[in-house]
Amino acid sequence: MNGFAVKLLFIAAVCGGCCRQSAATVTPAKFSGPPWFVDVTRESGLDFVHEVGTVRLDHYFMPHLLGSGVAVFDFDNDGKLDIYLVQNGGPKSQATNRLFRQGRDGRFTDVSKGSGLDIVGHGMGVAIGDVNNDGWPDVLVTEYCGIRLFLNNGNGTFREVTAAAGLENPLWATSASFVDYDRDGWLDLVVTNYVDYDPTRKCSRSEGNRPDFCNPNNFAGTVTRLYRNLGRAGASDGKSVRFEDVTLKAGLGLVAGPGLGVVCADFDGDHWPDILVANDAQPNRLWINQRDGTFKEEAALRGIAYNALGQMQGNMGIGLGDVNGDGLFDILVTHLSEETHSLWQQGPRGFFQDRTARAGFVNTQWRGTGFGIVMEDFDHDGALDIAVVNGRVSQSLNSEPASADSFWVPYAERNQMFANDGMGRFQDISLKNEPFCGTAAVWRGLACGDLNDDGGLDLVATAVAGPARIFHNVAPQRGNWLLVRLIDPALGGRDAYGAEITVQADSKRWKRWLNPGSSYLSSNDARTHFGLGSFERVDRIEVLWPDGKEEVFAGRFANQAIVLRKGSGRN
Amino acid sequence: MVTLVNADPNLAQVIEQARTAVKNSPSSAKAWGHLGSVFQAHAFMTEAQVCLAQAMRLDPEDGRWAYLHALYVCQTDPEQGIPALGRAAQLCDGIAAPRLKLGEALLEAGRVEEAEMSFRAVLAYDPNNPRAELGLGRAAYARGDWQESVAHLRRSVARAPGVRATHAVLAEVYQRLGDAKAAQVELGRVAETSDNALWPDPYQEAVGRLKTGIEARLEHAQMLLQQGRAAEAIPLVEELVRSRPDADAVHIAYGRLLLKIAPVRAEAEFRQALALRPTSLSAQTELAQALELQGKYREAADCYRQAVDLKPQDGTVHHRLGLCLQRLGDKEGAIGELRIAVKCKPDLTVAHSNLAELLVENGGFDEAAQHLQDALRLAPADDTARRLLTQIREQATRAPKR
Repeated sequence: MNGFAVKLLFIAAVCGGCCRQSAATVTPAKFSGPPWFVDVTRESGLDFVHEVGTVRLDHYFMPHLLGSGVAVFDFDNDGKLDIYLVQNGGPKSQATNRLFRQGRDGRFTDVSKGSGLDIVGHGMGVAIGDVNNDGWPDVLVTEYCGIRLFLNNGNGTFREVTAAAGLENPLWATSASFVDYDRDGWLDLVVTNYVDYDPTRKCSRSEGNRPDFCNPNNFAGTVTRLYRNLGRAGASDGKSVRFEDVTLKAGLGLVAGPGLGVVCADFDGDHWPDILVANDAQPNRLWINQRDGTFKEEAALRGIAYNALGQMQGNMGIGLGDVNGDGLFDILVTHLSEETHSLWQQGPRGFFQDRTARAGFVNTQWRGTGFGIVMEDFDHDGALDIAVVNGRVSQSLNSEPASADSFWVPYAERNQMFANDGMGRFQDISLKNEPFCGTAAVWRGLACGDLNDDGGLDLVATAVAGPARIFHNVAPQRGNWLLVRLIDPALGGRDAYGAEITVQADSKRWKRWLNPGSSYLSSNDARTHFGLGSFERVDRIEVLWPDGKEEVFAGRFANQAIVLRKGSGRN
Repeated sequence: MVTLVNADPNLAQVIEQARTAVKNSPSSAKAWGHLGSVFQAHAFMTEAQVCLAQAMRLDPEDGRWAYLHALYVCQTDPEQGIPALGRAAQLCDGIAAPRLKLGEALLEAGRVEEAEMSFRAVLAYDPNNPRAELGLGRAAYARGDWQESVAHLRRSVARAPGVRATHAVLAEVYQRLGDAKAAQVELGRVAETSDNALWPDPYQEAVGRLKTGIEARLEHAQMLLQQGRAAEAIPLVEELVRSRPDADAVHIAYGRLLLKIAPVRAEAEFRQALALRPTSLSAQTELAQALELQGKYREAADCYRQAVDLKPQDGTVHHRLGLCLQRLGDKEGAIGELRIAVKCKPDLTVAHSNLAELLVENGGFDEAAQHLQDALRLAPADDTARRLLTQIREQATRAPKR
């Protein structure tokens, strides 16, 4: 080492002492509990390691970087949540997507083989929905250059019906969500597509000195696709299901973008579901349902296309929930390490304003490139908290270049967790949560559900080329809770995606919106969860069903999982 | 330490020169600041930060180094970035950029009143500064004062009409004020402005001028071309071809410059690029275009087919291949390719129209009508598609019902 280098290193050491820690360097942090989550992956029996195939240092294949998602759902209707994990090893890989069934003892067993879901490919995301209204949840897998639909046979197996169902999407599909946009009782499908990627293109950081993954701005965006479910009647056999590609007819094909996240909910209060798409480094798009089969893009007009500075950001995952208890849902979108995760609060109805700074997301313990996001009440104090999984998309500025044996290290980051004070202001509690936030990895998918039936929402996270992990909720002094499943017997007893549910205890009201498709490439437990604080019972439950009908259900004691059937309440 | 193995020779040379200057004058703030700036220009941010910090120590009164250093701190640690920018703004008194950046950082941190003070301080000595007006417009927006926000934003737009961010905020504020018409006008302007304009910033511009290497020079040439300054761009790229004949990106860039004016020479450049990197999709498709322009449709189709092998779902390539096959008289083949094109790229209006025309020739009126409808959904003003669709409908009405 020459004298110049020594001097630089000396100065670096001096400077290092005065600089605050950066997520990019993944410097050690002092964690102190008690944590809200513990890692139970090993004892749960979940032995899934994400595959990206052979990494070649001369070939930074972007689909590897986006990772793959996870679904938490009860595929066999036995009352225990199961887990489906997506692989990204490519069509020649031996590593298949894997389905884990949860037994009565809480352990997960790999039941992939012969399930029909044990497929290979450059798998990206997963969406869950009962598309043929038979009461059994079906599975949609998104891939680099494709989507695949699997119908649940009701006996632990699935059959692929992609082509027969009329589904075709040769684009780079990422997140997907089921939504009954025309309110005909059949779940339609929205699929976000990323960029028109050229796999032969080589990109680098700093003038060819260090190869790296390409920036999405190197490629044109692609359209988000919408498929209308024609129901069983549309299928030739009258038993299966048939979709029609209405991307252009509905208007979604008019504006392309590099879509990564999607969430469907009623954004303008007309009781018809709208579609929000998070675009990477481009404005978000909010497709407002015109109630005639078409949509109109209104993200900029409603304040959710850009951040408070009018800038486009690296929009990735989406979380939806009412963070300040005003009865209107708010939106959190995860962003790059150089940006902040942005919180758009709704108010008045249909309008959003970037309240990131007020919410406390500017001065966090560390920053990260966020992907998966869950907004739920982890400690049951009545306010929605936030968990975010992070992982860079370009090598850290402070890292050593990637090498064959440590390829993903320069992309690794730690996760974050935030506690809500009930007014929509968040405290960064990452340092109290070493199990969830302490391990740097290239985290991507995140989904939640009450895996162990104790009322607390647990988390499942995925990482590029790393193990998927289960985190059980052990938040101390948790309050009371209620877990509600909404089903419509007239639709085969399937979950009522698109319903709004309000729980009231005394003068306190909590509102939730039913759709498991949010976060990033992932699908959550379809039940809605309420933290009730000190309330030991709720006085009434109001449901606004997807078709616009309202029902009221009687109050009941807290701390139980209940099922509400459409038609069994009071109008 | 920056490793210059495999680095662009120009870049290596520039860094080495700046390093030598520091070695020769280790107490020179200017030498350290210049080295830091060279590193920053080429995204060696850690090294840049170290050198700029040393320059600040050696000359605490020079605002340049404080500002460039503060920009880095803002990225890695926004909390510390604000005081760093504050110091830089004081040192750079009279130059707006650091104080404007400070105002924006304060705004992002939710410190709206302090941000407004910063923007007003700039307006005190530069009353027409559009970036300061935009900042004040955003600050008023954050306070929910829509009328005041509009007033500032309009002043900003009047002085800098090409800034997308200003139009975006204006559109939303108008909508909130219930003026849907004005909101739509602003939305139209958002769509017209391709990207956010770069605000004047002498310090960052000085860093930008230090950029070297192939990518930087190609970017510069591209910028000249966009500004209609082809006469300046062409010699720049020609010099690159001479100095870096081993870089396929250079041949592709040169070929693109020549494509319309000299397709034969463009073809040669693209072939050279392919010889250097046979798996380059862009070289393959550009070569196909050069051949197409010369009327060599068979060869062009072969090139497009090779491009399809590299990327089977490329809608644009399938579209071009379809058109080549049509020229070669292979109507069925053309229809097949155009069908794939619209599946891969459903928003490619012209592919829908081209497919519809071929389908009509083949008697496939129903499918043609669907594609014409799609073309009109994407481009409602497409009169050709509208006329053809009307013709098809009239034919259908006239046809005897069975």
